[in-house]
Amino acid sequence: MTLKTKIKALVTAGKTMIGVSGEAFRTLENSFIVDGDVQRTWRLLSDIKKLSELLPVDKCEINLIDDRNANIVVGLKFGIMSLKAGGTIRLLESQELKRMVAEAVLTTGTLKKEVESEGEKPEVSIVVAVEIEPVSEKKTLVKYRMEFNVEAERLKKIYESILDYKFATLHETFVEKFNEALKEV
Amino acid sequence: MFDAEYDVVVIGAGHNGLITANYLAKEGLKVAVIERRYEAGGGLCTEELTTPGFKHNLHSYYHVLVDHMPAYKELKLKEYGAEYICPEVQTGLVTSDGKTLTIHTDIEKTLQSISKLSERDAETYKSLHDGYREFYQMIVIPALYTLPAKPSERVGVLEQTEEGLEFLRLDRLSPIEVLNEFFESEELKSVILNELIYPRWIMPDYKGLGSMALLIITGVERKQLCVGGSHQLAHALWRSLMDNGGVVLGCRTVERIIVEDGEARGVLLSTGERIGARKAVISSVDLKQTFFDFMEDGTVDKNLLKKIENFKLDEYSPFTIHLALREPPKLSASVREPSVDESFHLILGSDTTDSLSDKIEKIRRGKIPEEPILYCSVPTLYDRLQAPPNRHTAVIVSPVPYSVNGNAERWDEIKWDYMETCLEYYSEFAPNLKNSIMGKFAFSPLDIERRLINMQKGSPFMGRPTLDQIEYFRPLPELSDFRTPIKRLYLANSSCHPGGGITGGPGYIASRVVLEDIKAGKI
Ligand SMILES: Cc1cc2nc3c(=O)[nH]c(=O)nc-3n(C[C@H](O)[C@H](O)[C@H](O)COP(=O)(O)OP(=O)(O)OC[C@H]3O[C@@H](n4cnc5c(N)ncnc54)[C@H](O)[C@@H]3O)c2cc1C
Repeated sequence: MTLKTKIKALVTAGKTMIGVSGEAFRTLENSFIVDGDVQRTWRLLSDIKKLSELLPVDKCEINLIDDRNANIVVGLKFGIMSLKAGGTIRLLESQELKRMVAEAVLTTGTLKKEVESEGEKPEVSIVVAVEIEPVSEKKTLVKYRMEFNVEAERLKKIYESILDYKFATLHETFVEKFNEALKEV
Repeated sequence: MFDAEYDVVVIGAGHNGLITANYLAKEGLKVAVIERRYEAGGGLCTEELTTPGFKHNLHSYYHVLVDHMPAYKELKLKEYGAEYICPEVQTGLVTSDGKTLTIHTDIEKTLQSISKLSERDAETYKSLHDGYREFYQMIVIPALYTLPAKPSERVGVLEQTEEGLEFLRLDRLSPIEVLNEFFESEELKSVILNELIYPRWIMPDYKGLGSMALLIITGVERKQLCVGGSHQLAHALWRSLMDNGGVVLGCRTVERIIVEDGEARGVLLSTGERIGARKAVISSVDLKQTFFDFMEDGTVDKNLLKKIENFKLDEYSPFTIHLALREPPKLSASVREPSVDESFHLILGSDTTDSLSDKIEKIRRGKIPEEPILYCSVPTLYDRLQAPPNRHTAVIVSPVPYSVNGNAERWDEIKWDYMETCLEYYSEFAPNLKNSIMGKFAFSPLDIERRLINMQKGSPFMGRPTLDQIEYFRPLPELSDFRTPIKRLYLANSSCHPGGGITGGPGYIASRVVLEDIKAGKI
């Protein structure tokens, strides 16, 4: 079973959020409350083009293939070095005004040669499940869970560092941008 | 034909051997670690050397990679009793004319201290700190725990941007050249260079290690001390190994690796016992023992042996003094700069980069500098478990040559005198020191080698971290993947990437490699 299909199987088996696979090398969960009702929040969340502008990365290009699939290129800068990755995003599940699950499978450009020379795949799979629920008429709770799956040791270590040291800031930046963008939805 | 048989036999129960053993035992393999001494830990050794109740760390007394070491988190070593404290005043420097500099966990406080010496340097320090911190945190440190990349790949990744190229340029320089380019304050340059000398064994003029100066500035590696003494980390690793079904067989010295048909089959102990290894023998001790002493003639290719013979050991050895104290040393300089008294790691005898370089040259020529370089610490300022109530311990490390004028045995004659020279010098900065001493003990380069026979020639790093002996070239390109030409024999020692010190790197990477070979059915 390839990395991709394993995760898909897991998502289909999902209960409230993504089922715990024991496979993902890292899982992150978090939630935040936004100033907008469920309808507006959902509209923003399901507009992938708009959403991509809010991602706390240095570069993000999205090209829609159809309403469930898109090509994506992302870049994240660490001081003097950028990590670039490109691949696809696929919407796996969508329950209107409630929950959606998407999977991004990205091939790392920056460390590709190094990883391949060790006989490993320079690939990372990120499954994101998002659920929303009303807190009040004008406020919505957004919960998300991300499962990271990386095969290559070298990439695993880098992703671990990013998640350990940068994730909190990335989360905060995203929430800030999301709230800002919601005003215009 | 074996007295006992395991899946894996690990030679040496230092932290690297214990880490490898832990990961393999966790996967259900039957693992035995063979240790020459009566206890596990190697360079994680805490003993009541001077007076009962005073705990002294004979070798490593602080560990800079605890935050990053995968084993610490993954083996839940904190839960097994290895707790760490991170002192706020990480490093201090006092010069003979009373100038001070302190490096803090809080960058703002560090900048304040630097700006007292040079406003310009404080600004440069901040821009280097901010500019490089994430790169070191996210890219460089993780690479300590993966197989080393080939040089072209490393360069390839960086040469794509202008900033990357600039980094490569700086890396090609020596640490002192990088510092001379950026800073004017001699005290600041001296602190950074000394941080590289101990405990990283990187000398100021090592070409191709310029980027190490930046590593220090980013502060991503933090000095931390293990509560109760460094040996608590060894305890934790041992306990976790036992829980995973592994054993440490202490008081047993490996004399030979049993090789049959080009494959490692087990080890022969000095007691005559033969311990079998069904899958792998892993050596966490030095290269000389592994490839010369443990092997019968003709087992290892002569060309490889020649290269191993050429592998250079460390350029200095640490002379160590352990003190039991009535009260902590009070530095005269603390009248003006109180925080210097709290320095976890205090540098003395290194006022300028020139005087530091002169002393290093002397050490290289086998001479002991008249005025010592000292690294002093009072661990009990931070950890009350290491001494009785209201009492303190101190450790003083001084870089010296292993052979004094070509004669290492000389240390047995001069060690107590050299201890007094060092104490005399420390007292010039801390006048209350001498009267507060309740017990003292010195440990020479020769003592290091006698206690831990793998630290040959008093070489704690087990191989100089020069450009030809780091990363993909450590210990040699053909051994850099931790495999050896002898099937089923692996390395997990400090002579491998990322090197010596309590990094947990070699042990961790070795376990990945062995597991990979087992999963691939190669062994
Ligand atoms: C004075 C001093 C101060 C230091 N300070 C620091 C510091 O502050 N911070 C830091 O990070 N590092 C420090 N170091 C370096 C650090 O202690 C070593 O680099 C580290 O311990 C190496 O770990 P290791 O597991 O590779 O080897 P070791 O810790 O040396 O373990 C190897 C083990 O193998 C055993 N062994 C050897 N030969 C045989 C054999 N034939 N059969 C069976 N067993 C054998 C030894 O007894 C030992 O237990 C210091 C070293 C010294 C000497």
